[in-house]
Amino acid sequence: MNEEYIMQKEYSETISALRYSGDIKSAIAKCIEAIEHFPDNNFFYKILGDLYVQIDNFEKASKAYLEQLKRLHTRPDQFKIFARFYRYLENKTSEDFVREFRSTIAASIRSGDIAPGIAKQLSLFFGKEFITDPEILELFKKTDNDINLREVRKFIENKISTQDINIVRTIIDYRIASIDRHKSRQTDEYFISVSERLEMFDRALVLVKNINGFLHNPTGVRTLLRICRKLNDYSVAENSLVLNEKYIEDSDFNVQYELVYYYEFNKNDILLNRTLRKMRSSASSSAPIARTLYNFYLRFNMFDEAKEASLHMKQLASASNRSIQHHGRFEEQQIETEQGIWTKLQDLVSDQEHNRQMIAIRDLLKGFSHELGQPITNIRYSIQLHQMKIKKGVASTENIENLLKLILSQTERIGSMLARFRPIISSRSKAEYFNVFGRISAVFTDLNTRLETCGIKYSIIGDKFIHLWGDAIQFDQVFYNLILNSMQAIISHKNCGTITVIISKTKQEQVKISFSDDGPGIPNGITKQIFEPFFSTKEPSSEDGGEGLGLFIVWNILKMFNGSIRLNKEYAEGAKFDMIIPIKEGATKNE
Amino acid sequence: MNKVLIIEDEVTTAAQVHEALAINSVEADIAKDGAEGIKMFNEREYDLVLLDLKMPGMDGEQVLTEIRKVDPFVDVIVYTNYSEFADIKKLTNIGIQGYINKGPKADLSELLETILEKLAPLTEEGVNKLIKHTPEELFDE
Repeated sequence: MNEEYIMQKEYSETISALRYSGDIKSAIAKCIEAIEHFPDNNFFYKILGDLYVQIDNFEKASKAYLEQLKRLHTRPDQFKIFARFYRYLENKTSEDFVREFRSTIAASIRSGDIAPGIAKQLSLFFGKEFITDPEILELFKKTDNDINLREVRKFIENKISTQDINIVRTIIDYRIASIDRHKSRQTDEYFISVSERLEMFDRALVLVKNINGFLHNPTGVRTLLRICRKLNDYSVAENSLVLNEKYIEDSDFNVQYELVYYYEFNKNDILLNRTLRKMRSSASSSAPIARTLYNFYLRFNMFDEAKEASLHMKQLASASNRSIQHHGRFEEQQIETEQGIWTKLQDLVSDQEHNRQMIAIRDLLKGFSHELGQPITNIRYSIQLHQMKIKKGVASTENIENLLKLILSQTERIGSMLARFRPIISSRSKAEYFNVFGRISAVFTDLNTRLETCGIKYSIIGDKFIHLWGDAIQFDQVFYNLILNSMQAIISHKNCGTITVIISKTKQEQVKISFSDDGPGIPNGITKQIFEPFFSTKEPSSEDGGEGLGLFIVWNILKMFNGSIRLNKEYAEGAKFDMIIPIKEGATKNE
Repeated sequence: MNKVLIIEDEVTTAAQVHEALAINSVEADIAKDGAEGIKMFNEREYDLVLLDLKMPGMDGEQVLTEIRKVDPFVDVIVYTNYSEFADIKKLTNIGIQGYINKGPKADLSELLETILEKLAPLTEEGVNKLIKHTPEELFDE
């Protein structure tokens, strides 16, 4: 070992000893002394900077860090030390101070005091004012005029393909800050699409807003709505456009397509349906539009409309067939392809029920494996933690007791989870005819004591003679879960309440059961999630379960009956669920 | 000096990670959901964030996006037992430095190693150690 190294080592030991003893002043003095001896060692500057931070002398701290920066080479982890210091400064000092610091750094870059690799990292960190790379500076200028668009596009696509996203981001930021846009309309539109592609939605939105008149044409509106959809936040669109009834009428198909998603997001069923109707009139002659519409119908469970759309698509197909002899080879192929798609779509319709059940099972397993993962993680972590303690020699008898307790409690958790799933997975599946009204009444009677304690009254109204074929015990579970949810909702809100069940038969040989309470209802923001497994609004630790399985079980059982459940969003006095179950042939017995 | 923020809704898991970090001399705070995590992250400086992806309310991805708005440099390690549904590509775009599996493959030592490795180049102790023990060439750099 050479002398210098030993000295550096001694300095650093003395400095850290002083530092940890709290004598920062002496540590600083020692550090300055060390720097005098070893002016090229960047570590001493970093430590000096940190010492000054400790006594809130940011002026000197930033000077020390700048010196450190000048002595850095290209190691990214070293740059990170600086980046973190800078963020710290931003939080602790004034904007002016930070700006001053930045301009000092910029000056150092210009005078060549900072290594090129570090200068590049700084430019990516701070943005365009730090860019020194002549190629990029040149490109900045080129983006100002559409005549360079081809070249700009080539450059950007190349950077994207080499994953050089930071540079692309810097150029997008340059476009955002640009003031003179009258020659760069196409270029800016291109950068919107780039931002969108790279999922920099915030930047895309700023560009959309900054381009004058962009929202006066359908492409612009469509782009804005599409970005908002991907962001799951329509506030920018709502601020720039009036998305009312008139807007639907005046829009072209592509905008209407986005409007459907917007109204779905906003839960505005009325305007959503209006948009779909409007789209239907444009679908009369266009197969792709008809197909889009068909997909929407499926998405919103509008099966009658979907069926109609599917018929319409077939008509369009046979119309093309009739004129087939007039077409060339290309059209012929195209028609064949489209026919193929229609056949597939038809298969899809018949497979749909099957698919839904598969999706239900998949979701169930998804939730199940997630929930099972929690106790498994806890058991594994606790054992591994104990092993770690043994290795370090800090394990105690008390630790072992706690470990065993924890493992036992986690296995109990698995057990109770399995018990909750039983209604879905029980293979008893004893199918029988049962009376809908009778079964529901029996569940209420069973829960009567608890309902009375909570001050909850109930009424069951409607058709007393509808029978269903299936597992009656599972059917009961639907109502046990719904009633328990309502009870909890009502008592969290007030000290009495009412639950109402209405049973009726629809024209399509279905039984419709609506279940409503006058509790606080389901908050708007979560109406989509309530049927997901393990979604819960209750505290996980609370005694009332709160594991978020109730409505998921309900949903699954109804699936087994080929039925469905929907939250009635129009109902404002509490929560209301509408269930539909098809009555299988022969299941109706009039008593 | 080093401080880790654990954002995890599962209390038991969080406590175990916290203890494992403690016996390795790393300080940590626990946030029990995303909103609390963001609040704590904004209130003080953390060197690393350990983020559970599947949480009630704000999920891990949303939390990550919020954190990245404030600090593009802090190390974030995500962990979940829901791996097949995590959009790792998307998360990588927002910016994560590590991904760890929980559930049947949960390995506390692996988690700890990953965390310590990320913290290592920046620990006060680490820097001092580096000065003390690095080969001389490094100073000649």
